Amino acid sequence: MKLLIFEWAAGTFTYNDLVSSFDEKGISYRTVSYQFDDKNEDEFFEWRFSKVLDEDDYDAVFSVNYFPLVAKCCHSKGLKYISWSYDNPLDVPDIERTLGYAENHVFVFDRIQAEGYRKKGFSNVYHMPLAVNCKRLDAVKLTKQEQQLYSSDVSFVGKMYDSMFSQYLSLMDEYCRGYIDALVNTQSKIYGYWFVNEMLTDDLTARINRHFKELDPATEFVLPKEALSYAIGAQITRNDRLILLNLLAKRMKVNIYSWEKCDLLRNVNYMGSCNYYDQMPKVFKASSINLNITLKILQSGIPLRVMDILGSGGFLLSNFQPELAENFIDGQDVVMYESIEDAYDKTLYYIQHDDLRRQIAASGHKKISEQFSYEKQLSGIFEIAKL
Amino acid sequence: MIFIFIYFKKSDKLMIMKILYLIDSKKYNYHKRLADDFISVTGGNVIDTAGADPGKQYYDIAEEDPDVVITFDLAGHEFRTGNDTLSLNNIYTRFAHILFHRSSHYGRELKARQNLSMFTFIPSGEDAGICRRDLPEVPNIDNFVNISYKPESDSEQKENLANIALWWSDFKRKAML
Repeated sequence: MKLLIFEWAAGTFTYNDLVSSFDEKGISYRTVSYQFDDKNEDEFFEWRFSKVLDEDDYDAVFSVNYFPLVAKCCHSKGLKYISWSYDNPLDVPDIERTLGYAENHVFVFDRIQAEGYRKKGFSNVYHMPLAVNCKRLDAVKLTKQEQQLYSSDVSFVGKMYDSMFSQYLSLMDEYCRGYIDALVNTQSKIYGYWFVNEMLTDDLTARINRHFKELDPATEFVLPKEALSYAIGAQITRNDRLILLNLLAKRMKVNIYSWEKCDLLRNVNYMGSCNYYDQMPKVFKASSINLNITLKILQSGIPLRVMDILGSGGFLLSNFQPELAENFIDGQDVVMYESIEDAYDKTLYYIQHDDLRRQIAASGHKKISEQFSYEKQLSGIFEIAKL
Repeated sequence: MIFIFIYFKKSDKLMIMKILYLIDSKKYNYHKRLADDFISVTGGNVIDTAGADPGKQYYDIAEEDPDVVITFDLAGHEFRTGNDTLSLNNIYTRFAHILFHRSSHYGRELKARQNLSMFTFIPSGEDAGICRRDLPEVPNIDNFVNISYKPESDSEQKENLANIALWWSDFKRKAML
């Protein structure tokens, strides 16, 4: 099998693990990359990428995440296009314009999202959980100094999601503001079910946009339902992260690794960002408890961060996620919480039980290495794509 | 920083093209003079990477938002991301990487993956062929004809300028500028 891999120029976390798996499977590949300004329109890219496709006899194009212009080029040549996303939602404007091409095989890690697309008639969108390269992660060892540097009671790797929510809200009329506020309050208490999309009716978004127009008749800005839904999800996630980290930092050593420092965090040690391949596994190995607070809009899937924590042999305390609960036993392989209070209580409990934590981390690591390897997931992908 | 603008026609709209040259005058003593020659044909501005803080300089370049970046002898390829990929890959623009020596001279820097908007020009046709075969992650390799980095006479210098103009026109076509 010969693949052309398309990679976003800024790089993708899973690229190295993906190609090591291709190497192990004896799959030959060539990689090309590009930086898009507009993912939907780029004449130059179409021309150059089509030329690259003509340079060899590829069986398919493979990419991490979905790129509409790659799909378009493959469609015009009748060549299979496989995309496997770790982004959720897919974050591509007007995705439905290209998603239905017969050459596409699009894999998303969130089952509910896959089902949503399939219900809309995109039968070429499939559910495929993410994978982890335990062989690489097992080989990562910490020196004494690194153990000291990364050691903490609780670690959190991720961003604080500074979303557009407040700006959107400030421009709404009183009724819409009250409605959205109530929606945020209710959704923030519910784990494992995202009902915001159902509550954001077309009438409501039309009313919001009408009000924007009343405030500024010259505006061409239109707030799509998807953008509002994402902003709500980001806001709830931000609140969850802020509250939990601040609460825990009053009682124990809490480290955060993130691109940007958040001034609303008190007594939480800001450690800067950590490199995905070298530093992040060390953080997970050296921390007593690794927190995963999933972006709320991710409805059922297991995020990459969870794969990385368990693959590194770290102890995971995560919010409840349906697919995590289906594949791992709560209290045996991982620990899940169902509210901020629950997360706080469980952190206080597990921080005092070293042996139990180690036992759970070992069990989670064993299960993830057996059930979520690249070899297994890629075999599933190639089988579906008939390659 | 002052830019020299030239006007060009694209999609029936008059646009201003911002051209940036990346050179390393410490490593290659002919870069400054050669950049002057190129700029006399194409217009543009120079950033000398010699002795600069790569992180800061990369952000300066990105912030300029150039339409074209032209590098000599892979200047700027030392700017790397946390995953050791070329930082320049992340700038949405067209690149021309002009090499004045055989490919073997550059080692690791020429092996780094370049994005599809980068064009690499190599002085020898034979060497360009070898690179196309051996460097699958360098997508657009072309031959760079008759531009000397050390013109030894006035006539050679004049010929150089004419060849730079020819190259520039050919590159603009290739890069859809």
